[in-house]
Amino acid sequence: MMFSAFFGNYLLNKGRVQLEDMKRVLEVMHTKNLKLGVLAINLGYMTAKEVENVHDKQAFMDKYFGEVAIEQGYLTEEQLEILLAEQKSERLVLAQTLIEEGIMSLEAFEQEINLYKIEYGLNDDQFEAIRNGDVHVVATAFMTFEKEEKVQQFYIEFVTLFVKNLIRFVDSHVSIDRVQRIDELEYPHLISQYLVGEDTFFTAVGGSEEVFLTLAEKYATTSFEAFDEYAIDACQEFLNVTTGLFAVNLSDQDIEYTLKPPTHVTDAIVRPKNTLYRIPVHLSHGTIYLIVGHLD
Amino acid sequence: MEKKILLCDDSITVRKKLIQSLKSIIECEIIEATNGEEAVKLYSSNKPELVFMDIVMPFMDGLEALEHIMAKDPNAKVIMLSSVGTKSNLQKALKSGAIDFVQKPWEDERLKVVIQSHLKEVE
Repeated sequence: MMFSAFFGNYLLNKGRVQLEDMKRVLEVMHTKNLKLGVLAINLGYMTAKEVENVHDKQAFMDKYFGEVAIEQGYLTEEQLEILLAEQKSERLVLAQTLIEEGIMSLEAFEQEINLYKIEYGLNDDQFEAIRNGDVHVVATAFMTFEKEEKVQQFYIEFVTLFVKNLIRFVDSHVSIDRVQRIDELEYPHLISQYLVGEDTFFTAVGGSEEVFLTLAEKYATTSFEAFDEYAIDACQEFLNVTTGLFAVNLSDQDIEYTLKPPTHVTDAIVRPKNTLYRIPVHLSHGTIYLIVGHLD
Repeated sequence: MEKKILLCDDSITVRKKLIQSLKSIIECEIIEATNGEEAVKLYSSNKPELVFMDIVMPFMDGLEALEHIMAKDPNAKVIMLSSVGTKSNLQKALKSGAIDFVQKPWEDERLKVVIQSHLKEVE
């Protein structure tokens, strides 16, 4: 679901798709089968014009899309094999559903894909990583912390693990946005934790009560009447498991950190003395903000 | 006779999940502690057959509580259950007398193996 999460969110932010339309698309996309033309455009094998040409010819002959495309010289046998294998995948159903629901034309879809790659400076490998759900490569592509390489990698590893755990325990539909340096920010709720070792690493998650409540319910696999101490505890434990696993990964590299218990505050105002960064993390039920930084 | 198991974790989410997991593995009486200090007191008054102990907790962490429990009862069976299974924590825990370590988030199958190896009466 990573491709539809990232690209879908981009389309929403750009105003290319309305929220209600996107919700409908996400609901129906699970029932759709991918069309070869959409796949061919996405993989860069064919242009939208070529796909339309094939469709036009198919209207007058009893032939499959692949047969016509090969006859026209648009596709090779090898490319068709790849497309047929890809067709079973869910990751591009979003594109096809957008087209079938009349929200976007083939040309517009192709254009948006290109604009998306340009806007985020994604090379072909990075774009492929989004399609394949490779969280680490995606985090690397989206994260620039203006820090030395070692710290940059430290943050990227943490963001990667955080996103993987969200996908594993909370929501398969997760996307991240560009990292932002924080000056001053206010959150209705903030859950934070310190890792102490050769330096002090601070991480926190900020967001609204509604988004945290849903996160808590999904993580604890139970329902809560309100965002009470139990729901808060579930959110804290999600962060604690993530930071704990992160500490284990660091320990495997002979870097030792200990954890402080997570804490929760309401109406938190973050006025960092040190450089802190936040990463918007979009879930299907709203956005949370992951904060990372080192303290003196 | 039912075995007594003491769970010590500051997170109610974890305690609930752990109780659910344990109940599916073994018939037992479960005693809950929310920090290391409480666990030491409850260990003394209940003498449980097995203890599951978190590490990162307020007031008194799990490694300190482990030392107190082992000082009171060198035969105590304490299993550390934590997300922070770092080399340093593993070494400290084993050196202080913990008999095993379970990494959070755990799988029930792993819990079952741990319990079976430390409580032979489990079916």
